Amino acid sequence: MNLIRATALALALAACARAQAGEPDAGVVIAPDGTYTKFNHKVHVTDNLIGCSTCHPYARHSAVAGVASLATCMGCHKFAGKEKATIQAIQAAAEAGRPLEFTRVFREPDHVYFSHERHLARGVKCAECHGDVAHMAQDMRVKDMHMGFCVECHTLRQASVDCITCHK
Amino acid sequence: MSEPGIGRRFFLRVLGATGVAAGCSPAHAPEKLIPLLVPAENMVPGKALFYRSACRECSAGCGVTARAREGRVVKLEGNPEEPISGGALCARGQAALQQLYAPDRFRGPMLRGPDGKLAPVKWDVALAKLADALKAAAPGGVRLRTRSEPGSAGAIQRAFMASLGAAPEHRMVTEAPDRSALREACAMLYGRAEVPGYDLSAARSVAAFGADFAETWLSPVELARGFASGRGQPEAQRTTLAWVGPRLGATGARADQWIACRPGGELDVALLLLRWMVDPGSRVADLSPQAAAVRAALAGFDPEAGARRAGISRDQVAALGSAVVSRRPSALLGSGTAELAALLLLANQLLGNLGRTVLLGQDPLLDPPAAPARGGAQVLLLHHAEPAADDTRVPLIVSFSSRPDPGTALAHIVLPDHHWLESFGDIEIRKGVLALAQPAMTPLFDTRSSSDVLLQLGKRLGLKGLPPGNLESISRKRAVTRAGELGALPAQGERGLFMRGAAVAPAKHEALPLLESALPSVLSPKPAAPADPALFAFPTALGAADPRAPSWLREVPDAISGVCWSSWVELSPADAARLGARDGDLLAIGDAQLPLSVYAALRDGVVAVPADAPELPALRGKPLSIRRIGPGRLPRIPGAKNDEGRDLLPTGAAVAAREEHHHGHEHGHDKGIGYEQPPEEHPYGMRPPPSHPFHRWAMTIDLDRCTGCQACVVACYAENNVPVNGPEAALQGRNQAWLRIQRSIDVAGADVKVAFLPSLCQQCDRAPCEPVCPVYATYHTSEGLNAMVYNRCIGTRYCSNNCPYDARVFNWRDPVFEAPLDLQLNPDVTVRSKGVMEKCTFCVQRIRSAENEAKSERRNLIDGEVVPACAQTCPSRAITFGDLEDPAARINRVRQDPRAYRLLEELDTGPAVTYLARGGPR
Repeated sequence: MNLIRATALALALAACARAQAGEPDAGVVIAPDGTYTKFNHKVHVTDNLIGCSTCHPYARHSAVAGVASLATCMGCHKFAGKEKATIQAIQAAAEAGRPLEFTRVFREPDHVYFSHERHLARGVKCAECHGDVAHMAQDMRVKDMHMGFCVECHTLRQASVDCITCHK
Repeated sequence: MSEPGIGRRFFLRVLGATGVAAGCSPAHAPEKLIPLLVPAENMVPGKALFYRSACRECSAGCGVTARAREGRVVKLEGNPEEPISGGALCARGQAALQQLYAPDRFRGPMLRGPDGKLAPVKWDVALAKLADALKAAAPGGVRLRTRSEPGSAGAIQRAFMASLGAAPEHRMVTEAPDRSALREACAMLYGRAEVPGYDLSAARSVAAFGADFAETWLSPVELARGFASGRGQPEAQRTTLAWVGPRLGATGARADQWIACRPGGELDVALLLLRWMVDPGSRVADLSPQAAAVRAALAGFDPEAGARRAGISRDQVAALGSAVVSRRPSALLGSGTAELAALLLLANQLLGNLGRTVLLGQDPLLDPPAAPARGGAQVLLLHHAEPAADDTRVPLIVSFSSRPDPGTALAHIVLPDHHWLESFGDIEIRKGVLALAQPAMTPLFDTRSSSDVLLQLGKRLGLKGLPPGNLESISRKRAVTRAGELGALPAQGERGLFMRGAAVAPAKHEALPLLESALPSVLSPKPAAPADPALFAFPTALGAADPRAPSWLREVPDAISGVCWSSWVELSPADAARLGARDGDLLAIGDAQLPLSVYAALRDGVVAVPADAPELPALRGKPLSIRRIGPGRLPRIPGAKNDEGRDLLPTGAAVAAREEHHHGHEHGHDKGIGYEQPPEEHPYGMRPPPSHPFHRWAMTIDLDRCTGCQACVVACYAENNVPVNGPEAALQGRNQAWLRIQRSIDVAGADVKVAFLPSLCQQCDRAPCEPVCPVYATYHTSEGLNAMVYNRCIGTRYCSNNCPYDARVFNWRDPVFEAPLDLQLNPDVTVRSKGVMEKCTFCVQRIRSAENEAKSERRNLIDGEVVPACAQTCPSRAITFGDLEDPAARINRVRQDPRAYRLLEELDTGPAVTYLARGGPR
């Protein structure tokens, strides 16, 4: 029944394609005026030696890592890179008091409970799950954070593999 | 597969691909992260913040702790620092969240246009229009109808009205529920119109004359807690309860004696009781000195006629009398009418209860209701108060309500107030108990606190005599001043005060002299002639019949009838049979049509209707002609229908008898088992015993304390994102509650016993649901929980089929949380979708968060650190939760109670929930 087979596959692919078309590019900063730019982790982390928790301040204390507030950005960008159009857009946003928007790279679904705090307390490095973000000029989802990925590490480190440790 | 083209593997591959497609659909999550401009100082995303506030859903004024996540309040609990709530909340307090997130809240100010419809308008325009009207109004033409505001809001209102030249009676104060009967009674007997305080924890016996103190009467959380502290004790110390009234409500259901008088017959029962007490033949010792005067004043009272009017026998009164006399201090509660309240206060005085269970001098008298001014109104302001019948003639009506109500239906201008969780405030309902409110979140909509609106109007009109500042500054200043006066200002000053949310220095009982000159008139009330059939309006803890009640209160079935989403009428079985009507039939009563719920614990000849039924006003004051129309549609959740004859609710005596029985058998080793034990070599039946290396979470529920108030059920809805299914599902007998109060109505001759069983997942050691799940979606955790992994569930419903406790509920459709109700959802609990089975897991998210905190602080969990939402909010403290592996845990002591038994133990499921059987004769 090749016809059925092909139709089913086509439907599945179409569904996938439609979903992906609607998805915004990951790792993009959108200024209030609608202009956007790729966020460059390499420039921030590797070239300028800014640590992860400067901009993701809650990772050590909470389930959520958090994203830089505009006030944090302006801590440097009041002076740094003033000549660039993208930075000028950020400065304009700060002056107007309107927030930036970041597009997500990683997202766990609603039925998963994940705590950054617990993982960092156990000594897990950011890069183990997020990839070598420090050297990424453009953000990429290099690891598929599916259940197998989690369970593999949990088994290796003898962490709990009880379902409701992570499922809510 | 018979088709050669599609093998199993290919099918799964396509399934997988569509799964990914569905998974990456952007509709499921916000794909944009919008950080704050400047991070809030104390807010950490993913962590809860707690704010103290004061509940304004009724006039009890409980202190509240609001849990906020990411800037929105997701759960309410009582404030343990404040003695009225004592840390608990009632069902309506829990549901206050749905008033905050009510979909029909006004988004901003509204103005009635020439087309007669309310339309949005700017604040400036609305205020300017109102200011013009106030300026044009004649002196004394402005009226303010308000709920009682014993704090800054009331002070601002009074100053505003005074500066407009209004007389004090132009500010008309109302209370809901109305407490004026108690005030009048105190005025008659003691010359001061105040509301007495009741300390039921000191009482050894309680007699409630229609006072449903565990549901709505006076201060239900505080009174239920006080009463329950004397329950669950051995018989000699146990607080007894007598219920006087035509119908056993949830409070009455737990009574040890029921005097089923006619509606209104409570007055005659009180007179009979007083007469019995002062009758020398009763040999009552130690009555207060007024007994002789009472005896003299009662000389003209004919007890036989009284008993006939009330429809009871005098022996019942003697039994009631000996209970409240021999078990002193007692407490007699009731306030149906001022006459009844006065008689009961007098009885309390005679019995020496004043100063012990009944306390005077507790009312700060800050904002008592007063007789309203009539006529001459040109502008009427409505502040959380219902308009009166003749208010329709007022040329300009302004409402401060935040949701549509009878006032906004008439109003020309609507200036929506903040919800109390969005606003500052201070209230002192009890003298010396100051409850403080601070905003727990930024206002959802373009609303303004009505106090601030009055102050802004004052500025526009250039009024003199208004306090400077706004509600926030006035309320903060007043709180510090009053706390200083009480000597209850904490060391950290204002900051500590608002963190605590209360300043507490309870007033002592004030011994007011009884006005003996009032006795003759108090003791000769005019009892109404008994009507047949008689209409009886009974209050309910929830709001099934009230179309304006929040959806949780409409969805959760009434404790007695099981009705939800509808008003109804109750008749006794004999009356129903006389009409040829059956349960669920539609009846015509006067002009109204109501579905019938037959109730055995209702006196014959009584037509009982919930007090909040919209049909009730049409029934009042008319002859009751009843006829059956035909079969009706009555949405109700059956109580314990399937459980009849399963002996789920034995009395304490029965449990003790069982215990006796199995101690007679050599091989019995477990509690409360009246059947043959499995042989020792297979102590756990078919499956090996589960191991719990760290914790074994367990619960006990004391059925002698439970009052069926359903606060736990609503708390569970709020904590666990339990969806509201609506009336159509209820007509099919379905709702989604993880915890339900099962009721059992046991008719034994003339006596009817009503009992409640809070029923939830029993977290069995050998759960029948687990082995039948084909996908391992439900399993036993190492901490003893019967866990559910919702995203694994494929909806076979085998588990539900196999559960002997009926603990599981199925999502027959996708849940709907109409905006902005979705903002209330607890982010720690997933929202289950259509086709998924769900159930209680002892609030596993709270266990996880406590464990997380303990781990971060490198310590072990402390007993009492994990409290599920139901146990937390129980006003009666009937629920104990803890870890059986912790030998010092309180639960291990509670489980040793001789009343302990487990449900359907003979099935060998090993439940983690232990019930403590109810005591007393009923």
